[in-house]
Order: sequence, then structure tokens, then C-alpha cells
Amino acid sequence: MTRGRTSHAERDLHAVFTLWLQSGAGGDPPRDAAVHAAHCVRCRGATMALDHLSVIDVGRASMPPSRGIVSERTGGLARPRLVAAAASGFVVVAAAAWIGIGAFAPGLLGPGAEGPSTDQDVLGGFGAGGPATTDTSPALSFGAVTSESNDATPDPNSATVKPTPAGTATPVFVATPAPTAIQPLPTNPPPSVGQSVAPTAFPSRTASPTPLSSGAPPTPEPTPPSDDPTPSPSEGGTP
Amino acid sequence: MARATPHLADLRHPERAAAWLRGTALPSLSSDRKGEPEAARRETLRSLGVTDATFAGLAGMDVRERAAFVAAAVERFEALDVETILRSDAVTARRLVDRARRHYVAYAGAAIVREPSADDPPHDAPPGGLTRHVEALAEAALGGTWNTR
Repeated sequence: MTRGRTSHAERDLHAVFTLWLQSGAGGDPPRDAAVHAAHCVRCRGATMALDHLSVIDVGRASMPPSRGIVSERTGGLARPRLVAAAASGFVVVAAAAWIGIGAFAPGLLGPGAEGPSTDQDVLGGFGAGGPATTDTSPALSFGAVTSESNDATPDPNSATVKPTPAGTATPVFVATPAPTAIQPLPTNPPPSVGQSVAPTAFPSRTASPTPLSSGAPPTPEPTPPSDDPTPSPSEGGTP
Repeated sequence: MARATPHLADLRHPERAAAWLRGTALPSLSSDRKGEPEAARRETLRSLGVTDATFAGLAGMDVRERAAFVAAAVERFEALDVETILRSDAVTARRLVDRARRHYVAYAGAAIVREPSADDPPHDAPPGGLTRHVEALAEAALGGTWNTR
């Protein structure tokens, strides 16, 4: 009976002391609970466990190791991305350069490389060499006129175009008129057109009557229909 | 930084800022520690003064309890900072700290009872430790005639 009461009292002291520890061990525990804890193994262990906390020094922790995951990931992906971006930029620049060369200098790309030229459409297939000038020197204008373009575009001056040799598809050299020396305008009309003067393949607004010194009578020949209602005297010549 | 901008006024205090940062990192702790072996964790914590008994006591808690206990009992953060770390109200934080302390006392005390020689009181423990304080109270209660040693 006495032993039972003692055991019950000790359990109460044990519970009281444990409760005091768990509540933060603030202040002093009850004296009887302290006496109990002084010789209770479990209470001493619990008390010592709280003492162990006092030796923990978080400040001794070293800096966490740098994992470098982000940098490695970005570094691993940055290089392929950079290469891809550079390649894409190079392709774009090369394509732009190719298009630019094709637009402004089709001859550099080789025969057949240039696409359908609007100049030929406008000029009726008289070459892409640009507008005709009043070049008086006998020359051959180089035009990238193909047989297809000759066939496709109506050539009002087909009679003046020399036949191209068989087997020579491109390019076709179109004979330009070889005007003779300019002489003073004769007083007597009509200004004759030399027989050797051929109508220019390139209509020119500045094509003034070029009287020849031969004074040969004009040999009217059928001229192709022209848009100009007022044919100039120089036109209609024979080559 | 973007998440801290709305709290700049509160984070001027260093401990508020530390608590806020810890609360930000707390949700990711559980996933980070899964693959780390226990021996490595124990060795890392030993360099900070964590004994085997303390390790056993901390191991008996979940992550939130451990964070609450370390902040309140080890680093002595104020209750406001503990609430910030736990991202909870005062009542919840208080309950969590009490529960963590109960777990710690039970697990760490049991570890010391099992292996008393392996977990003697730390040699560098402050002289006014809790154990010494309780012994002093008992000695005073018994009229100075009782000595545990």
C-alpha cells in the first residue's frame, strides 16, 4: 500500500517534471519534482537532451556548396543555342545577299539564274541591258534575250534582227544600228535614212533624224506598227 | 527579390529578413534531403555540435516541427519570427513548437538513456546548464546532503 502510493507519487513527479521540460523549462521546477529528477534516469536524460542544444553553434556552418546546376544547364544549352542563332543569321544574310544580287546584277548569277525580268516585259523583250541610249558608236548590245523571249514577246522589229545562228540559244547579240557621222541638217527634206541604218532595237526618244551624207533617196520599207502615231523619219530604214 | 519587394518595410530588420528567407526555403527542404544518406547528414551536423542524442531528437520530428524547434529552441528566434518561418499564425506556431519540444525530449532523452556513455553531457556545455540547475535545486531541497556524483 505504501509502495503503491509512492509509485503513484513518483509518476506524478515524473509527469510534473516532464511537463516542465516540455513547456520550455522556464523558471524553476517544483522542489519535489527537482529532487525526483535528480535521481530519475529518464528525467535526467531528458534534461541532458535539452542541455545538448546549448552546444549547437549554427554559425559554424560552412557556406553551402555551389551546385552550379543552373549555370551548367544554361551553359550546356547556351552553346548550341548560340551556334543555331549564328547559323540562322548566316542563312538569312546569305539569302538576302543572293536575292539582292539577283535583283540588281542578274548577270552575276549566270545564264538562266535570273528570273523573269520586268524590264523585258516593259521593253518588249529587248533585253535587260537598260534603256536605250543615243550611243552612236557601232556596237552590239548584249542582251540576255533568249529564243524563248523572242518568241514570247512580239518583236516589231523582227525584220531588223539578224537571225541567230543555229544552235546558239543564248545569248543573242542584237545588232544595233550603226549610224554614220552626223552631218548638218540638210535643208532639203526629206531627210534620208541611209540604207545601212537599221532601226534601233531600242526605241529612243532622242533618236533624231540622222541624215546621211549619202543623200540616197529614201527607200521606204514597211515599218512595223508603232505606238507612236508620228513616225520619225529615221525609222523605217533597212539594215 | 521580386517576392521580397512587397515586404521591404518588414525585412529591414535582419532577423525578420532571415526568418522570411528561411520560410521561403522551408517548402523545398523535404525534397532536397531525400537522397542524402543519414551518415552524411549526421557528420555534417556533428561539425555544428549536434550530438547523436540531439540528432535522434531532431530525427523524431517532421520538417515543419524541426524548423520550428530549431528556430525557437536553438536559434532563439522570437515568436514573431517563428510564425514568419512557418508561415502560420501565432497559435499554430506555438502548438507546433510545443509538439516539437515534446518529441525532442522524448526521442533525445530516450537516446541518452539507451547509451549514456555515448552521449555524456557535452564537454563544452556551459556550466549553468539545465542539468546542473536541477541538481542544485535538489541539493538545496535536501539540505545540501545529496550529491549525484
